[in-house]
Amino acid sequence: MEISPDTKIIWSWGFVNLNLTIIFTWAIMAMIVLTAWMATRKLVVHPPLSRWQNIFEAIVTIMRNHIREIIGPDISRYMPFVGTLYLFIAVSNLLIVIPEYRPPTGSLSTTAALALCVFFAVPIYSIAAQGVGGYLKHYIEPSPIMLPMHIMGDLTRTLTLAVRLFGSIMSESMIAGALLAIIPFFLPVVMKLFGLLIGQIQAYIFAVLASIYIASAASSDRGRKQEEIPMAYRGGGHVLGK
Amino acid sequence: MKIDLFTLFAQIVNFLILMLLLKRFLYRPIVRTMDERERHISASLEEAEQKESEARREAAVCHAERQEIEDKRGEMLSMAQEAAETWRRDLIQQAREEVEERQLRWRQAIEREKESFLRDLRQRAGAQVYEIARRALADLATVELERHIINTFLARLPGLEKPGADAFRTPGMETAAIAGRQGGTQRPEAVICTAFAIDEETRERIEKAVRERLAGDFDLRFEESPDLICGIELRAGGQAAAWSLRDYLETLDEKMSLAFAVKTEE
Repeated sequence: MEISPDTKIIWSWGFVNLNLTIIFTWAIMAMIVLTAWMATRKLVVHPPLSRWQNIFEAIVTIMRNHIREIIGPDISRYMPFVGTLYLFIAVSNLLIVIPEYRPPTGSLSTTAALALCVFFAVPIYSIAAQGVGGYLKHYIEPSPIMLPMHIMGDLTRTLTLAVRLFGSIMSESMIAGALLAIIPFFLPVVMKLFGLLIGQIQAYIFAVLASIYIASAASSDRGRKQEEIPMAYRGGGHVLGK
Repeated sequence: MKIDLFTLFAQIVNFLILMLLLKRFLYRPIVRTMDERERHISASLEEAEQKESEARREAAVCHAERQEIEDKRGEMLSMAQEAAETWRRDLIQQAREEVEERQLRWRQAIEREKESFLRDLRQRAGAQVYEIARRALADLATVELERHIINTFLARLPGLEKPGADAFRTPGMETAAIAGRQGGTQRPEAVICTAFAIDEETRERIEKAVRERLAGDFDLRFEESPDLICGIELRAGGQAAAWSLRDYLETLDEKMSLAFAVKTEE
C-alpha cells in the first residue's frame, strides 16, 4: 500500500519527477488563486458585497485577528506567509472528500518543504525586524552557554513541524486504508469525517506555530513577547502535537 | 517514507509562488478594500459625531432661543396684561366719570324740570288764587260796599300830602297842582272812576272833597269801570289815587311774582 503520493510518478525526465504531490499541489494552487482572483476581481467597498468577497473577507479577517493576537499589531508583512501556509494546508486537507485525491500534505517532502520555509522565514523576519546583530544576539541570550540549545531548538522545531503535519495526514490515510480492509462499509465514512477535522486542526496548528516562532524571533524582547502569547498557543506545540 | 529532494524543492518553490500570487490577488486587495471601508466607516462615524455635536450645539442654541422667546413672551404678556389693566381702569374711570357727568346732567335736567314745573305751578297757583280772589271779590262787590269804600277814600284824601299818606298804595301819588303841571291851553281834567253808578249826592261830596284837595281850575268827570271790581280811582294829570279791590289784587299779584322770582334765583 502506497502511503505517499510522492511515489506515484506521472512524468519523469532525468532528475525531474512529476509525481502526484506536485500535480495536486498545482491543482490546489490553481484553485485557490483562481477563486481568489475571481472573488477579488470586482471588490466593492460599500455593501452589498458579493458572496465570494464576503467569504474571503471573513477568512482574511479571522486570519489577521489570530496573527495579530500572536505577533502584535503590525502584521502586514507576516500575513502572506502565515495565511498562505494555513490556506494551502487547509484546502489540501479539505479536498480529501474527493475520491482518488491524495493530499500533498500527506507527503513528507511537502511538509518538510513547508517546515523549511518556516525555518528560513524565522531568521528572515527577525533580521528584517531587528537587523542581523539583533537576530544573532538572541542565540547567546541570556548566556552564551545557551547557544547550542538555541540551535538545537531551531532545528528540532522545524523537524517537529514537518513530522507532525505529515504524521497526522499520513496516519489518517493509513487508518482509512486499514479500516477499509477490515470493515468495508460505514466506518471509513466516519473516519473520513474525522480526517477532515484533523486536517483543519493541523492546518491551524501549523500556521499558529509558525506565527509563534516568527513572533518569538522577530521580537527583540523575547521574554515580553512570550508573556504576550496566549497560554494555549504557547504550549500548543507540546499539547496538540504528537 | 522518504523525502524526495526534487519534490521538496518543487514544493518550496510552489509555496513561494502561491504566497506571491495570493499576496497579489487575495491579501492585498482584500485588506485594501477592508481598510478603505474602515476608513469610510470611521469617517462616517466621525462625520456623524461632528453632526451630532453640531446638532447638539444647535439644539442648545435653539433651546436657549426658545427660552429667551418664552421669557420675552412672558414679559410681553405681563406688560400687555399690565397695559390692559391700566386701560381697563382708565375705561372704568372714564365710564364712571361719564356716568357721573350724565347723572349730574340728568339731575340738573330733573332739577330744571322740577323748577320749571314748580314755577309753572306757582304761576298757575298765583293766577288761580288771583282769579278766585277776583271772582270772590266781584261776587261780593255791591253798591253798598262801594259807598263804604268811597267814604273811606274821601276820608283819607286830605291826608295824602301828609307823611304816611301812602295808605293809598299807588306810589308817588301827588295831588298838588295837577292843573299847573299840565300847563298848556287846554283846560285840565280830573277823572273819578267807579265800578258802580253812584248817586248825585255822593258825586257832590266827591267833587267837593276833590276840589278841596286839588288846587287849580279843572273839569271833573265821572266814569264807570267794571275793571275796578269795587272801589274808586282818581286820575289827574297822568297821576292817580285809588282805593279799589283791583288794586289789592294787583298788589297781591306783584308780591307773588316777586316771591316767585326770588325763589327761582335761589
